[in-house]
This record gives sequence, C-alpha cells and structure tokens, in this order.
Amino acid sequence: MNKPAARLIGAIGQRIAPLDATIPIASVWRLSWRRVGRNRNVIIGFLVVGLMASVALSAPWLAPRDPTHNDLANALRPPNSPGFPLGSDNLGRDILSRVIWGSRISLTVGLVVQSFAVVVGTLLGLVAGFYGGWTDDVVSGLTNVMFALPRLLFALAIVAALGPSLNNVFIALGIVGWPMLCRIVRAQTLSLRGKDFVEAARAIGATDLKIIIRHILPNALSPIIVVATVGMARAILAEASLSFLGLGAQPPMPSWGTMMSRGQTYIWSAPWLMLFPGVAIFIAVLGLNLLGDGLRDVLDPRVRD
Amino acid sequence: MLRYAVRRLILAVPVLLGVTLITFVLMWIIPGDVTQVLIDPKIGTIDPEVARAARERWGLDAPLLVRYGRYLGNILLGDLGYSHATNEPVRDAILQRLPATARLALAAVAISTLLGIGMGVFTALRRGSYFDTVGMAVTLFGVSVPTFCLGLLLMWLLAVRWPLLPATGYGRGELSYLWLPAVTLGLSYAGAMARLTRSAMLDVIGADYVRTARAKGAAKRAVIWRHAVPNALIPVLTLIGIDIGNLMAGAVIAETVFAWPGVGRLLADAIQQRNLLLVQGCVLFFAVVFVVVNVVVDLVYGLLDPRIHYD
Repeated sequence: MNKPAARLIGAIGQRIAPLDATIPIASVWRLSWRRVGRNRNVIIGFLVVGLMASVALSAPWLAPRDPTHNDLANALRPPNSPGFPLGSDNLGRDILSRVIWGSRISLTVGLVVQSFAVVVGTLLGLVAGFYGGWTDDVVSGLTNVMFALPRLLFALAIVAALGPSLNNVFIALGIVGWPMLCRIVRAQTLSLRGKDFVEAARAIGATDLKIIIRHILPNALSPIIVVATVGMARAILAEASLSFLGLGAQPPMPSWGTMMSRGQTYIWSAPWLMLFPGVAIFIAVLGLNLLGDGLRDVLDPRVRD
Repeated sequence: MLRYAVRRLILAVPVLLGVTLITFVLMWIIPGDVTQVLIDPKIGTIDPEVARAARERWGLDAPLLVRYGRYLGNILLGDLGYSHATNEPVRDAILQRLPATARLALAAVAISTLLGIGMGVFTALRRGSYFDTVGMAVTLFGVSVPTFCLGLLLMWLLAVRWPLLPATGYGRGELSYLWLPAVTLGLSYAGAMARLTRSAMLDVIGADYVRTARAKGAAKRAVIWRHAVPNALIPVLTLIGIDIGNLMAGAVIAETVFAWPGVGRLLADAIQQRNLLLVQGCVLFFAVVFVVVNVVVDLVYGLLDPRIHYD
C-alpha cells in the first residue's frame, strides 16, 4: 500500500471529501476490501473462523457419535482406535464428537456475549461522547469502576454469586464485556463531535439522532469491528476458563473447558483427554486474534507500523 | 508532582467505593435465601427460628443502605466476616495464603516483564527480519493459549513426560515447586507485553529525539538503551499495571491447576463450596490490590514522564 493512498483512506475515514475528485467515494470501500483480501492475517483468520463456524453449524452431521453417550466398555481408548479417531474419555464418550459439538458452545458464547457488548457499549459510548455533561460523568464513572475489577475475576465473582451454569456465564461475560467498547466508542465520538462535517450537518438542521447514526457511527465502525473481533476471542477464552474451574457448562455438556477440567485427572494415563479440546480452544482463539489483528491493520491506518 | 500524586490518590477513592459496592451487590444477587447460604449452603432447610435469629444477628433485615454502610465500616475495621467452612475469619484465611500468592505473582511478573520487554525490543530493532516474523508469531501463540492449557501442557511435558519438576503442590517452599506455575503465568502475559513493547519501540525509533541523538553521533547502543527504550517503556508500564489484574484471574487458574496454596486457590475452592463471604472477601482483596497497584503505576509513570505533571 503506497503512502498517498493510505493517507487518502485516512482522510476519507473521517468522511472528508477527497481532494482528488477523480477518485469517487465508492472506491474507498472497494480499496479497503482489496486490502482486506491482501492481508495474510485476515485471510488465515477468516478461514479458521469460517471453518469453525461450519463445523459448529454441521455438528449433527459431522459428529460420528452422540457426544453425551456413555460407553463404559470403550472407556479411555487412545487416539486412532477403531471407532474413536481421537480416542474416548473416562466414560467412553467419543472425543472427536465432543470436540465438534463443543465448537457450538464456544462460538455461541463468543457471538452472544460480543453482540450484547457491542450493542450496550456502542449505545452508551455514543450517548456519553455526544452529549457530554452529566450523562458522560455517569457512564464514564461506571466504566471506570468496571475497569477497577479485573475482567475475568469480575465474571468469576458474578457466576459464583449466581451459581455455576452456562447461562450465568453468558450473563457474567455480558456484564464485563461492554466497558471496553464503550470507552473506545466514547473517545471516537468525542473526537468526531467537533468535526466540521458534524457542524455542517447540524447547520442544515439534522437532528441529534440523525447526526449520530449517519455521521458519527459510520466513522466509529472500524474500531468497533476490531475490538469486537478480539473481544470474541476473549469471551471464548473466558468461557473456557470458567468452565475449567467448574463454573460454566455443566457435565455432560461438551464444553472444551469442562472437558479439559475433567481430563486433568487423567494427565498421567490418558493425556489425549485434555490435548484435543485444548488444541480446539487454541485454534479458535488464534483464528479470531489473527482476524482482529489483520482487520486492525487494514481498517485503522494510524495503528499500522 | 505532589499535586498530581494527591489528585491521583483522591481519584482512587470513588473507584474503591465502587468496588466495595460491587462486592456488596454480589451478595445481594444470590438467588434464594441469603440467610441459608450464609449459615451453610449444604444444610437442606434451616429451622425458621434459627434463620430469624441469624437475620437479626447479622442485621439482614436492615435497609440496604444501612447494610452497605455497615459493610464499609467493617471493611475499614478489617472485618470481612467468617468462613463457614473452617469457621475462621475471612481476613485471616486470606492473610495466611497471601505469601504464596505474592511469591507466585512476583515471579510471574518478573518472567513476563523480562521476556516480554526483551522480545519486544529485539523484534522492533530487527523489524521485518526472520527473527521478527518468528518472534511475533510466537507471541501471537502466547496470547491465544489459555492459561490452563499452557499450564497443563507444561505440566505434562516437564512433570509427566520428562519428570524434571514436581507436578503440583508447594512442598516446603522449595524453588522447584514455584517453576511450573510461575512460568505458566509469566508466559501467559509475556506475549501481550512483547507485542506492546514492539509497537511502542517502533513509534519511538521514528521520534525526533532519537533522530537527534543519532545525528549528534551517539553510539547506536546508547541511542537504543538511553533514548529509545526508556521512552518506549512508558506505555508498557501501564500494561504491567493492567496485566497485574489479569494475572490475579490467571492466578486463580494457575493455582488451581498446580494446587498452589494461594489466595486464588482459596477463591476457587470457596466458589465450589458456595462459601460466599470468603468469595466476597477474596474478590475484594484482589480488586483493592489491583486498584492500589494501578495507583502506584500511575505515580511511577508521573515520575518517569515529566509531561504528565500538569495534567
């Protein structure tokens, strides 16, 4: 990517009309798309996440066995045993099937938690940044207190109070997930609020709502996308950690974290119980991190090195 | 500087109050009857007379605001309630486990800081090289592995497959027991540290004062270590502060994996036993340490960077 073009993207990212009128605005998005297509991290990340999504969607057809079916006669089979490509666990359940079904839990947690975080964080951030004053004081005060507690620890405390279950993990991660987005959207809104194009929109009589939706939100979209992608990775990690501590998905649900927690007992005799869910978590999180990193490079020219 | 320090300390007060409010509300969102959970969650039903006496004794029938006021007062007096599992004060339970956690945390911070900053500086200096590419790939792996996966992997490698170190426990405090949990926790945060150091170094290398230092003919080593690195470390310092928070959550997991007798494990066990006063106490403890550490980091930040004084 050459320098003038990068500068152009930066300028138009702020919705300022390009000085060079021969380049129509529509091509900016196409330009971004082309950069997305050329970024190696984005491509690998996208493939990994896409693969995971397809596995999750087609779990009922992909999984060779029922993930919760106990088969004690075939307990603790090592990988590559007939009928158990990745081995079986202490209750004779097929690890491959459990890993496949586990992707549904992880992906659902990531999607649901981040959607909630994006909606709440963006709304609060826009309102706080746009209106300032006491609204901003309240929202910023709230985010500051939320940041005072380490995220995972906060989630842990909420699940501890509500009682261990996957639903409560959703609630806990939703509660701790939004402040990050709120802070970023607020900062972005603050810097956009005084820009000429916002003044211009106000001058021609646009309502606050219209200014926020048409002029500020589109310009804040890039950081939202990046933070939400990385946030999904964090949510999946957090669910796995909470499940590992026995607070998330309860047995016999095939959550990757729960599988590892149960498998820990067998580290001496049957390490594959932990190996495959561990690899699955790692690949899922790595894919999302790669995607987030790549998108940051493409969408946010300032952070590029 | 003094004004900045005082301002920063005053700003910490509402945050600490917010934290106590959160830990207070935690007890309030418990589904079911708090009295029963506080007496003993394992008993099926409690004699209503006992429950009534307990509510009276603990002041559970008072208005919420009064209860919060009492809670704050008790915290200031160092009274965090009793753990019903062992019938000892929550404060003593935490203090007793504190040295083990402090030891683990310090070792982990040392490992992640040395490794992270070292890798960040060197990859930035050799930007675009093979070393840089591999180094960044390794840090991305580091960021993507959950603490418990890394811990179990290291345990399997170094305690099961090649039995060089004890798998779990504290022993009599020998260093060999510290290695696995400390390295696990340290590596978990080294990745993020390395990535931030690298990008901070890249920013700094392009700065005017580095160019000036080079132009006046300073040796390359002096330019890097005297001018570039100290300035690049300023944002990294903030990350260390934030990381300490993650490290505490990580400690809960690492201490569980390695059966390390620290506050993190105490918290994990307390959650399992639904020992909620102990949970509340541990969370409050971690949150307060986190706030204090970040105040200290901000003060050091102000010392290191004169530009912050007049903020």
